[in-house]
Amino acid sequence: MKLQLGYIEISNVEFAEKSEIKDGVLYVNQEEVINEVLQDEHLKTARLEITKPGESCRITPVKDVIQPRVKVEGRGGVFPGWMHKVDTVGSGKTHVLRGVNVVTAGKIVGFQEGIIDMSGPGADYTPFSQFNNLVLVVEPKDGIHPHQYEKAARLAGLKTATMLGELARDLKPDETEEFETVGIKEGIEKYPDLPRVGYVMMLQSQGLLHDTYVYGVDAKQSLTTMIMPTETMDGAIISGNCVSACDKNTTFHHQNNPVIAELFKLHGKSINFVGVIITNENVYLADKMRSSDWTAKLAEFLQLDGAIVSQEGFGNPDTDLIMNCKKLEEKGIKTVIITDEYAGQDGKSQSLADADPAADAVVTGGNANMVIKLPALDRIIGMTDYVNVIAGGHDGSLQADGSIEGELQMITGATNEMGFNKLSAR
Amino acid sequence: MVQSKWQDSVDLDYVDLDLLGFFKELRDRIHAGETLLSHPLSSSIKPGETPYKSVLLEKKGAEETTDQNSLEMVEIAIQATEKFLTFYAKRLPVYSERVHRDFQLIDLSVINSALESAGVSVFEKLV
Repeated sequence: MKLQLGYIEISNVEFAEKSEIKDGVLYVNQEEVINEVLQDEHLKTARLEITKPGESCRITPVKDVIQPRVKVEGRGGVFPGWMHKVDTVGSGKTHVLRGVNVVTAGKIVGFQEGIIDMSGPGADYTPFSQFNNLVLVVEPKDGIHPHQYEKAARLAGLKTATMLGELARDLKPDETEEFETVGIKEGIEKYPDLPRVGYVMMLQSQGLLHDTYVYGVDAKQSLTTMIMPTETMDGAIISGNCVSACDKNTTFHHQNNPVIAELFKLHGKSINFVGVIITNENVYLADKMRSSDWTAKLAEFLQLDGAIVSQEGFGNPDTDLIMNCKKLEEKGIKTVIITDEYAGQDGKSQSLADADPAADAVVTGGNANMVIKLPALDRIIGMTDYVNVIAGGHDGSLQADGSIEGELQMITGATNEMGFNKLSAR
Repeated sequence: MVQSKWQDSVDLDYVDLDLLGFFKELRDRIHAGETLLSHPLSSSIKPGETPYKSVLLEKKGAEETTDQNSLEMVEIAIQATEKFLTFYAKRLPVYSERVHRDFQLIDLSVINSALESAGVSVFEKLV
């Protein structure tokens, strides 16, 4: 399966009467977008705000981050199962708006979390401070249940990103990149001497606000399976996860998975990137056993020499991570795991909720318990009244002057377990 | 919320303890022969943050020995909770009624997913 990504560089975003992309500027007719979003009967209000890198602005509580894309050639459309009918994506051509993201914000539950600071010390911890952000703040109608609100906000973000992506359909990309995955036999013939490496992507799947969807299907209801790496670039996997801001994989992370990007870079040179196994992180222990057994079975069937496993979340998923690692190593497959740490504020405590001697190659995204102080910023998109009750916050986190003291875990993407961040440890 | 949804269809024990006390009670039950069917550190809401936690246990006959996997898991949960409480103990926020309801809802949704996996039918889906 072969996919060409065509990048349209977006250097600026402005509101305008007509939605279009001209000379690297994305012009957005906000009324058009809001009217479309408010078609959803569960939503009462929706508003769009623009914020740019370096601005004294805090976005919170962040639900998801989505990169606008459009499929211009090949089967299906972006976000299959949601914005387009279910059809295998990942081949042909896709245009990407690079430099702008849709950020959804809304207080789905009273302890909803996630902060993106566009400047100051907080901006260094989130990759999303580096993009122009079109923030969509949605509020539900009275009496709407949190799970309906979550879904409405999720769809509103996908809808907005799809509308903006469409604007790039007929544009000439500034840069293109091509990615290809070949069949097993062809791969072995082509690269007989290169080690066969696969990627095991663990998907959050524990319940409301902890879900991930693959072609519209809730990942907790699926057995471990395979996906072509290019399918993820077309939005085959989307996030329904609003908990644990620092180490949740937003939809943007799935579209721009850094493990997949790096494996493609090395493919044909030092490794043979064979494919991607997706597996879940259910809370039922028999599911964990079944899913990790299946991961190891598929990896063995693919005759992998090495595997990289990334997780999402803390606690319960640590068990899946270690089970996957242990079972892969038992099959003789050299395994590297990517995680983050909850090592206490002093960094001296046990980092994970599970461990095994087989997990002898670990990449960390940083310590989520680290205490940080965020100064007051001039502009708030969303609301901060909940800050005392979020993960990483505490009574008194939100100071009278608008500054915030708390743990790194409140910042969106700070300790991402795919490695889409700057923190690590040696 | 879990209690009101499930009390008629599963054998349900509600214990009024803080999270650390709850995990210690769980440890006692595991020593007494019960086995964990769901993960004690379920959901990404951190220990010390959520006031509500449900787990699925299997009760076995008196001759059963302690399940080592369950024991290990609950010991790790106790350690993790103690770690998180070191900093937060004196500064935990007082939650509003709405936040309490939201925590209950997440707890219900997470245990529902375990019960569905276990083949226990959810007779009343989330509305």
